[in-house]
Amino acid sequence: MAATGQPLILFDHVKGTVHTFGADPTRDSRLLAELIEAQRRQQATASAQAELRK
Amino acid sequence: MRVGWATLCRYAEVNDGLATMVGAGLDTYFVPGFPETIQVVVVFQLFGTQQEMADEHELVFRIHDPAMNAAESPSVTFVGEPNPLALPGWEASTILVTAHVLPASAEGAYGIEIVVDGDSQNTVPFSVRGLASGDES
Repeated sequence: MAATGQPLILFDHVKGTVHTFGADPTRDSRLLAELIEAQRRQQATASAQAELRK
Repeated sequence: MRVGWATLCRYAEVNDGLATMVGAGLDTYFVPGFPETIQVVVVFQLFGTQQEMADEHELVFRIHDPAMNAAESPSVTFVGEPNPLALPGWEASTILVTAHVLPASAEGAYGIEIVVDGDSQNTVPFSVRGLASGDES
């Protein structure tokens, strides 16, 4: 087993910013919501691609 | 410090030093069209001496696009934790979960390079494809 672990770090290569989760709860919540929404859209696209292959 | 392994996945979290991942090994992202923004989650395990773990380190990523251009991210510093259970001679390790919002300007092969303290440690390849552009993933 390794050490406890590190907080999630978000690198936004489009905006040129980096954010380490855990220090700013308000910003954490907003960025996490954006990440989840982006993940949902990506998953929907992957599912659409899978349907096209059938 | 060195990267022992690195992988892409859809979701990851670390509890008590152990990673739980969903979709580990992911290597292809489909997008409706170009240009598009994609989200990539990179998980990797860093190994080092107990002393190295206690020191501050700099982490940077370089994104390689299909045109072989490389763009460097802003840097962030982190401090690991010595392994309380390490036996003499063992390395300590820590698992990092990083999320990346990336511009995908064209279909093709990309890479995300992990740079720790100025040393390139690992590059994880992936591809970005337009919807219905390929039949394998």
